[in-house]
Amino acid sequence: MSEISPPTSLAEVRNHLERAIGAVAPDVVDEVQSLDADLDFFEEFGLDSMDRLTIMESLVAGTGVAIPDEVVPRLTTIQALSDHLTSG
Amino acid sequence: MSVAPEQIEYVMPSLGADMDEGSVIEWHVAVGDRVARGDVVARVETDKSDIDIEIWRDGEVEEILVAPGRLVPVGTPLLRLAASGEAVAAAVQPDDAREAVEAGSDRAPDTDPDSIVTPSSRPPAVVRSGTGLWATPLARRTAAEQGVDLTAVVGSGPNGAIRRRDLPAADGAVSSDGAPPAEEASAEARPRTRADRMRRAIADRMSQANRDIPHYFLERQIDVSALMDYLGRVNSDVEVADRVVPAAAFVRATALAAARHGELNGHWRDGAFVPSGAVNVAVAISLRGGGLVTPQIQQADTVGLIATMARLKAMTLEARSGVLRSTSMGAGSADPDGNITDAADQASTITVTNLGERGADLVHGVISPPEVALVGFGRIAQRPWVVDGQVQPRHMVTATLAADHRATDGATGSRFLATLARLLETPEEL
Repeated sequence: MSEISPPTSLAEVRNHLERAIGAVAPDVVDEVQSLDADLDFFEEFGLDSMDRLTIMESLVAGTGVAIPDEVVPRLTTIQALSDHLTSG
Repeated sequence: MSVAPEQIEYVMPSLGADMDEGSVIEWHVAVGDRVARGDVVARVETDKSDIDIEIWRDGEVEEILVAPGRLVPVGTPLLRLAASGEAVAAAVQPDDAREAVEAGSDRAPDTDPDSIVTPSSRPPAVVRSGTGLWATPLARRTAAEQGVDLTAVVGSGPNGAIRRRDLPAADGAVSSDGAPPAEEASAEARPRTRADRMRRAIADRMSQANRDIPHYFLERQIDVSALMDYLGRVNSDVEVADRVVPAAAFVRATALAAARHGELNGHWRDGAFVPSGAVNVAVAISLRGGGLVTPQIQQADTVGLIATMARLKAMTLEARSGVLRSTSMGAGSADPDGNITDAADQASTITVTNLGERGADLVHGVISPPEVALVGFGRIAQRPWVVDGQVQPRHMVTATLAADHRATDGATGSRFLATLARLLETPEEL
């Protein structure tokens, strides 16, 4: 395992998200790589608020980047996640 | 003051009102093991989920009465314990569980009689086949029906035991003449896959509800802007793992409102409403493969908002992982943290469904008998709302109540929704 460090590209963010979604919705994990980066993945994959919390927990643990509660509602697409996780 | 150990038979608990049988798929203890209250002693497979069975007394395992893989009715003794420590009430199984055992002895054109353990045929089953393979009866029966060679199947159970879920998916249940197989045609046939059995369990329960319960439906729009602000403050300084979502507030508010309107909290039994002393809130949790389970938070009116969130999160993870704790399904009493405290089984007394999570604006639910009320929450959305004479964008949710008209009238339901609204509009009270 590599050291935890913030992702530097959208592709890396996608990989982090794939791992996070694998834990809550293994049935759709194969679709993460091909999902349009501007689509709402919560809606696309039918995820609920508990899933959202678990995914955010996993992303924080995997990237070391903080996700304040007030930005969570905006982080619904891979692009938005990337903007947040690679900005720091 | 030492007394001789008390012998206790731990029976297959009723893990929800729709369960009448289950299989022990794995024992976590052996004869002679010391166990402490709260230890998981076995994993049980039911139609809807696997459930880890917690023991409610300290003691030593004297005898294991049912071998892995046996399908047994609720109430069948599973394990004999020489109990030590403080005695708790009601070691015997409830009457209805005993009846289930007795019914099991002469039931079943629908079930392989060999797979049912009755009190008179209790010795453990041998689940190893002549070929040396371990497989549950369900898996062996299904394999035989489908013509699957078990020697080619990799088992996921203990000792490599083959479970039904390990079998390849059945290919369309249609025979060569195009007609469904006889078993499929029979209304009593036991569905083959867990998904099918869950569907059947839900179908039976909901059909009964719609047949027997004269529902009435009420709805109320609730301004949850203050709640959203409140949760924003609660969540602002904590790690993601400790944040609270609105669903927890909905469950908490329902519990408090149910405690104040006891006419909606309890069961319809034998033609009359029986109020419950405890508020045990079941929460409908949908599963990704379809279907749902309804684990419960016992005495939810005594569980604060943060603890409610923790329980909800734990139950959701349990449900989605496919293995629930027995206390989440009402076997034994649990403290606010969900730890088992004694033997008395706790039926859920009211159910919450939060379909707004899935995008629905509101839900007119079906009551889960023998309960008499179901509370639904729709999607939280910003909508125009008049506040102090001005139209403002506010976070709104539509709460609904489906209630049993045999037990209450609309006026009671209306008061319940008013209480619910007031609680959610003043979140500091939660």
